[in-house]
Amino acid sequence: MRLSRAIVLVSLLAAPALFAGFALDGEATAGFKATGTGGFKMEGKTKAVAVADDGTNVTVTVTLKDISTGITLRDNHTKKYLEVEKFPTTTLVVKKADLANPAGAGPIKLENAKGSFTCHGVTKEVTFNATGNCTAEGKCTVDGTINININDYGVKVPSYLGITVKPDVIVTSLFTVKR
Amino acid sequence: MKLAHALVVVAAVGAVDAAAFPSMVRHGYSSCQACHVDPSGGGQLTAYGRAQSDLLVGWHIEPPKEDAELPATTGLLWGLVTLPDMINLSGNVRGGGLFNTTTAGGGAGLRPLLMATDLYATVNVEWFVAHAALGYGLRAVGPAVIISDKSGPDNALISRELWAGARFIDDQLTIRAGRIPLPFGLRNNEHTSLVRSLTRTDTNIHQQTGIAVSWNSDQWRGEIMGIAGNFQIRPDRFRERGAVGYFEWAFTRELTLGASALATWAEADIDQGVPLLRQSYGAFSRWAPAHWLVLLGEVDAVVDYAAADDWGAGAVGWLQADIEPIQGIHIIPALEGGQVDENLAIPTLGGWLSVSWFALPHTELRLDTIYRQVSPKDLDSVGSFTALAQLHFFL
Repeated sequence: MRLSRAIVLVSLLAAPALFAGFALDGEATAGFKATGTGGFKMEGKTKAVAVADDGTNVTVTVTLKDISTGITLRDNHTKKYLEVEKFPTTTLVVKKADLANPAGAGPIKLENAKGSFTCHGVTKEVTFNATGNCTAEGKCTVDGTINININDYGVKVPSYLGITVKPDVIVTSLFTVKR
Repeated sequence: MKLAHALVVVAAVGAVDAAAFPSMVRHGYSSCQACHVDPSGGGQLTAYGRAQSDLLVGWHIEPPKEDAELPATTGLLWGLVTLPDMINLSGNVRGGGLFNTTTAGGGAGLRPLLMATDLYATVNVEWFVAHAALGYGLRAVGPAVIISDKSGPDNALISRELWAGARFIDDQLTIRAGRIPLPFGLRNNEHTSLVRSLTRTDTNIHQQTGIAVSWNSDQWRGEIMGIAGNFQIRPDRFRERGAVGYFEWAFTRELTLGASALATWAEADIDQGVPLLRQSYGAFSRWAPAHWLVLLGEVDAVVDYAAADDWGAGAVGWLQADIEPIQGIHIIPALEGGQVDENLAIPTLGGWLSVSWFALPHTELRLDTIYRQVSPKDLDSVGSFTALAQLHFFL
């Protein structure tokens, strides 16, 4: 049994995609929140986030090898469950045509926006939510989340020393982009 | 309410039985059940808890290697014994030396102290769980005594816990019956602190028999218990009946806020010998503003009602900082105060400074220094200083 804990993934980051034409400003973080038996909970984070815009799609890529849960052994187990050697990244692809392009300052609120999420070598259509705010100077801070079930992506449910992680996981992202 | 009660509290300071780690909120563990057999925390560790004791609690000369797995020393008797997953055996042995003196010229002086020699056993079969603790009590363990050579509180065979129950809904719901620690407030290591003593929720001796229902999720936890009495004391008129419980909400991974309530009735209170309705209501919080710092606080109102012309009300509080500059080394100052006795001129005040070093696997060295001052009406204040050095093995 592997440490368990862990799991998942990813990161996704949906939100940069909402702002095609914008570039990341400063550090971005992606992560996940998982729960387990007996009130267990864990969070993983990484800053290895990249955004690419090919004119048609915006792709957010998260590299998993540096994902941290606060415990080295748990990090290792997380990466084993995710088979990071074989599947080093997760991605979210969003069509630019599906994105709202904020023209000015104000709050951001996206619900059930559509994207294509790849994790553990499996790609699924997903919906995501994002909130945030844009300033008059063209800086937008965005907080995005997506709910996934790791069973859908072929990730084995982690279990370690009597604690089993629940398959429903929240993938999170927080970043700032600038026009 | 009796002045003697407060003085007993001063004299009793000493045996600190660290068995719970509410400061684990610094690692995002606001729920206790993953690491402890007791769903409200404290006492015997689970296999997962033993792993965390090495990974997060223990001191390491060098950081573990990046690809290192869990060391075998996390197992029973430092890994010498391997048992089936369904059986969890362990032990808790604490001993050391205590020095106590008072400004009135009293105190216990310097003496050796054996604080705990408990053996724990837990059996898990699917949803069923049963847990027992058995040990030897050297001193002041009256409410936990099973057999004593002179029917007193010293030199006795004791059992702090004995319960069986069932776990459901991903182990989040636990229903159990038996002899159970009272679910109230912070389950802090300093079991002789005023908040534990004056509310009688000391995990060292204040277990009661009853039925309890607990819930542990990632967001909140709580437990309520119907108290049928402490069946290790007799006659029956000394047994308290009532209810106790707490609720704690995790606002973030590092911040929780909880509330507790307790109400019991005894035909003859074990301390005061009169019929007594005993009530406590309070709030507590755990907050890790930084990884190296955890603040733990609790404040409780205490109301004791014996008769229309014999009742008292007061309050007790505890504020503690757990500073961990290096993993495995803790510097723990705390302040406390409480007044539930109308014979006191001002509340009893206390200050703690403790240092804890988890030097080796399953091994803790700890030094506690405690100063308390009791100020009776019409009498001089009495200060009490206690220093306790201890070596703790959790086998």
